[in-house]
Amino acid sequence: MTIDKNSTTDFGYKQVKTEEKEQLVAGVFHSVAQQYDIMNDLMSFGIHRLWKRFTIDASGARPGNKVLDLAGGTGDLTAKFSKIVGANGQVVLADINSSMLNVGRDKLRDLGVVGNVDYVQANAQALPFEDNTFDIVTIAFGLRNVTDKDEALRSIYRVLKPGGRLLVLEFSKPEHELLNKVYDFYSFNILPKMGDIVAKDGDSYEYLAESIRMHPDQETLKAMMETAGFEQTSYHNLTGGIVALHKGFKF
Amino acid sequence: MPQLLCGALEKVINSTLSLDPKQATALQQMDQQALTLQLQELPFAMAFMVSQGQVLVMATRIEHSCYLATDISTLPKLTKPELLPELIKVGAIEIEGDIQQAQRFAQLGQSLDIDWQQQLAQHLGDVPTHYLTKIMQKVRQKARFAKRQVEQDASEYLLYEQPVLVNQAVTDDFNRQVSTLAADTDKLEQRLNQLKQSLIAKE
Repeated sequence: MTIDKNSTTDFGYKQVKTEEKEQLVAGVFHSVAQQYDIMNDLMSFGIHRLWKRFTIDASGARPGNKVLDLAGGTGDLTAKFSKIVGANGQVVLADINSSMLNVGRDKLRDLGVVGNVDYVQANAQALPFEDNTFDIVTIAFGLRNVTDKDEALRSIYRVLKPGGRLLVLEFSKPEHELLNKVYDFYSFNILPKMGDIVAKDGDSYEYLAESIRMHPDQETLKAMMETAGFEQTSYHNLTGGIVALHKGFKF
Repeated sequence: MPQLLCGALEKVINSTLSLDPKQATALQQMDQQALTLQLQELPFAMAFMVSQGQVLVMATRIEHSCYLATDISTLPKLTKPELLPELIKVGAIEIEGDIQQAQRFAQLGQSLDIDWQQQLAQHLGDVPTHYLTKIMQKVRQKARFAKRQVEQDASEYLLYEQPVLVNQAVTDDFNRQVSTLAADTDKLEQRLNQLKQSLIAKE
């Protein structure tokens, strides 16, 4: 991949040089890795567990499947997939950030999730796997942090087996204006303060709120998936569109 | 949200199963077996899958698993294999796949044998649990006695104080009188018939 030295991309509301974004995002996640699970529960009032359950239910995973949990962070999806695919299946927990991967690996080992899980530090834009490897790829709350989302979608498409599916769980655009206003107030006023108190890092949670607003809305992401080659693409809004689950197949 | 129900159900099932150590072997034998249950009362299917000694509950239908469509009231009958043909015949259940798989899931719950005293002792300690159990036994005995007493008092009240009901002897006597009356009526009918015949003969 070649990067134009003068090209810029968003990092929250700021415009930064494209080659710098990876480092800046890495900094955010190195900083929040240890408190990631606690903050997720606090920020979403525990609802993120239901969003992840919905993703598992929609994945159609079954024993023997090979699953890639991309930007898998602390391994919530991996833990569940590991049980579903069983001893004959395999789950790869991949994350670009070594701190998140370490926290995820320690957590899953403590939970006794071993045997069919591999850990890979990988960039979603250049996945280090052979073509047609996985039955299912999931990326939960990770795509918005990727510098070149189109390239990441193409890379995911490449590693999926024909018949395989991608599930993107990501913050999106609330369906109703009133909810949007409440959500904005919560995101920009309360969330960074919570981050400051619990994770001692208000800036990272301000980035989180900004990056959510800069992420493509439901229809735009659907179109991006179609451009990358996915078919039968669809999305399902959760909690009034605060989060959306996009799904697409490779045939 | 179906996921909330499934999550809660999963928690309850696994917490309950973990209280009976004997279930570990049964769960091991059922590893990777799945059952999809479509209850008429719910708008979504629920899949139960055994994995690594736990039961996963998902709001989806698992392909190639045993599929069972029924209602909540019929569920307990699944543990009795002799009832299945009749239930299928009357349309109370619809099954696709291996029915024994569904029965194994049903038997998981039926074979539960939890030592509640031991479970309680882990939280309260042995001595308080012993006293608490004795108190519970006494309360249970008293409740049983009170129930019997209330039933007895109620029947006596209805029989003698407010004669709404009648006892067995009165009922038997009434039945005897009805039988005697029926026999007398039959005799009278026969006598009338005889008189009628003799009148016809004289004419």
